[in-house]
Amino acid sequence: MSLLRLRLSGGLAVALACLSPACDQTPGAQNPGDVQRSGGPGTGATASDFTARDIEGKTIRLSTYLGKQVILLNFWQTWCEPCVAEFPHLRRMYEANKDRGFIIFGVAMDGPETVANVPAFAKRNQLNFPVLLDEDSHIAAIYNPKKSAPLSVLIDRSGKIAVIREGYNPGDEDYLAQEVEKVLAEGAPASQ
Amino acid sequence: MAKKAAAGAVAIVAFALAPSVAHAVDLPSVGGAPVKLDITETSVFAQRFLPREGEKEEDQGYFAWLNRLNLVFGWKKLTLGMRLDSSIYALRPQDRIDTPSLRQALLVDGSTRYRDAIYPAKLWLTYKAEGVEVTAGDSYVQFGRGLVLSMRKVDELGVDTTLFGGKVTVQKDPFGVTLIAGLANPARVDEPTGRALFPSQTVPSVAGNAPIPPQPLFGSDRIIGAQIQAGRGLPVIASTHAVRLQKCAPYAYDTQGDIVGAPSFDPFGVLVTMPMTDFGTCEEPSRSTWLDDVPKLGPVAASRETINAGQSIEIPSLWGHGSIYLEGAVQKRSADSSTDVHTLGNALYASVVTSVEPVTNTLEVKSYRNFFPLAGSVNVSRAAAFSNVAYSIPPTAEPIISDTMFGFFNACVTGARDRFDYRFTPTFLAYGTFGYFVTKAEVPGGNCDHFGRSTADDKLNTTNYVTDASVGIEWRFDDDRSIVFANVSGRHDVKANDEPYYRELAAQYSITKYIAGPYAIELAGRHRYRVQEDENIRGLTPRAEPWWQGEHQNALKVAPKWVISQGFEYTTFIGLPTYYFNASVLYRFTSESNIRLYAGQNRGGLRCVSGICRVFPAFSGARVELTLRF
Repeated sequence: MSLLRLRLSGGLAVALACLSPACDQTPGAQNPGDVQRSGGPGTGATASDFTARDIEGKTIRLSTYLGKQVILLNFWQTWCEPCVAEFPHLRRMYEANKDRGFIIFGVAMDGPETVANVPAFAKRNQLNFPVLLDEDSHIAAIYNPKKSAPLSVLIDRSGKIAVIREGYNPGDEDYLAQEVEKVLAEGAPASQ
Repeated sequence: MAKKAAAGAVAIVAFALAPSVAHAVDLPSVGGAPVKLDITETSVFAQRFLPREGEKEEDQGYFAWLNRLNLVFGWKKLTLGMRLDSSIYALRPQDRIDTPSLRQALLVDGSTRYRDAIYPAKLWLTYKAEGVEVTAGDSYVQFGRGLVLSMRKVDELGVDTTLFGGKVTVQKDPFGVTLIAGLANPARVDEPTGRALFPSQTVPSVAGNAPIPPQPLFGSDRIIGAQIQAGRGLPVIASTHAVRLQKCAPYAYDTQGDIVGAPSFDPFGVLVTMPMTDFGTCEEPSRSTWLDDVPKLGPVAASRETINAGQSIEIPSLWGHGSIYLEGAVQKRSADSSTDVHTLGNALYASVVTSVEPVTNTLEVKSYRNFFPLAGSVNVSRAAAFSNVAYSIPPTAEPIISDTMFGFFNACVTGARDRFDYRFTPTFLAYGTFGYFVTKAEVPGGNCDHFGRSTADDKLNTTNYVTDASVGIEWRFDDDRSIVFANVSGRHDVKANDEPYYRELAAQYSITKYIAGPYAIELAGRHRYRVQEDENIRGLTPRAEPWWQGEHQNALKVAPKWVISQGFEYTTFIGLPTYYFNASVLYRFTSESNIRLYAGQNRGGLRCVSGICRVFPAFSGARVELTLRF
């Protein structure tokens, strides 16, 4: 754990963290690394199932959606400012695509010390997609062992991981939107 | 060793930058089902420069390569995971400093530090089926809001504690049951200090000093617990949870206090054989011999057995306009001695969230009485970097990076914090926070009984009244591509005898401005004015002087590949260098993998996350951080 990353953690500090690997990027030409995991539909690793509670108290099981919808897991914490900066773009993306078989799950990695803030945080950031609680890091252990925030995992309709995108900088939303559009357009039928 | 490290570094970097990086894919099928492999690889190479003013010789000047390799295999309903950690050091202080007067101290210090090692830090096998999850090996686990049990990862502090044993969760809404049993398994290598939690190496005889045999630094902490939930998916969720922590010896000792047999190490310093028992022993005299060696930094550290039990009730949705959480917990510690009469503790915690556009409000209330975190049995006299190993983290109701809760602030405290947000427009939000706490355990010597009555001899001097407040804004513009976060805050901590204990004023900001095309800039910083009792004292003057400290960073971001940053830190704390300069370059070669080069200086000092604190040594040097995901 780097001293700099430590200094960058928490509150404002996470804004500085945009200088760290956990949040950087911007728009421009196509990123050759964007589709690191997928040479086409169904060529990435199979996404693992998990069960978690959302902030409304409902139990969500990923396998209910795997193989049926395009899923974006977006990992964040309430003190992560780059995560806050990304939310408006995720809201729009969800609103624009939810009727096309696209769902976003926000995954709050807050531990016991800040999990109380998650419901209000979701409200004030006007999150219009489900928010899951991962207080004990069991989802992060599967998809985000480094606990980067934000980190997005895009899962295609065949239940395979298409893209993992770490960090957020202004303009990254364009890349993510392109990736989501590509996976939605591929429209592979459910195979599981 | 330097050649070995350099060769490894070159190999890793070359591998990372190779054009045809391996992909995460499903491996060939076994039994008709694909085998999935996920790899996350993190490597840090760091060369520390020579010490500056106020820095210790033994903390600086060395090279370190730390590597973490996460492997996760998935097949059908099984997941097999492993994290392989390794550390290699060169130019260690004991290897390069020949000063006779320092020799013995360096060898003693080095016997628990800068250890070349490769070891499986985490290992687990999980079976998941509809409503059932069974894990053998390492697992993170938390009951309630962490009052009773919280074994998890806090990256910012290098904390990564799991339960090594078994965990079974059966979930059938509205009911759920979790059973756990195993040994605590904290991270064994502390990157900022190079300190390791392995048994110490033998310190040879130097200048007439007697040799020091290997000593264990971490005990065999055994945890069993259960949680029963009812109401999942319903409007009200109740959870009952209980945990027992039992502290045992990591090895068997004879009646003379010597370890029976002797641990042996391979050339990398990895423990090859452990005497007598692989998982320690609770037999006497081994247990007493070990626990007598563990410094008694707090009541839980001093106790052989601690039981935490709690009950929570949650209403996750108040008709879509909020939520309520309430948890009560009790703690029973075994008495450390006949004079240890205050072995009971209890805690109440509640949070209430309300939201009606355009307002959200979060109120947290806590009242803890002689209620301590479940501290691990670490020989902190030789491994102070691990003094924050704990298996429960009661909520603090403080800002996450608050480093102003001193002593055992949270063990005996009553107070509340409220945050009120008002969204003026879709792109502009303002908020204010206010907190007020009374603590009887912040000043050394202070504590209370389970009724909250101070047990200190000098009650006025050990009771603190703490007030803090902040106001801030969030403002977006440029079609949500630019954003400003800013706030100012103040904290006033005064003792019951009216003596000021701690005061602070702070301002922090983060401004991200999108320019055009792939370009954006970011300015971020935090600046604090602080004064604390008995700190920053000049000469023989008995009066603490205030000091300034802060940091600022500028960054240019060129998407999608580059972030170039430059920053500085400063402090006017007496005896420390005033200025610290640094710069870094981040290159992202895929959307998920990157390399970061950093050179410069960082302040040392106390840093906290979520009420867990530790002292970091100052950093002065260069480092490369490599993150690969396959």
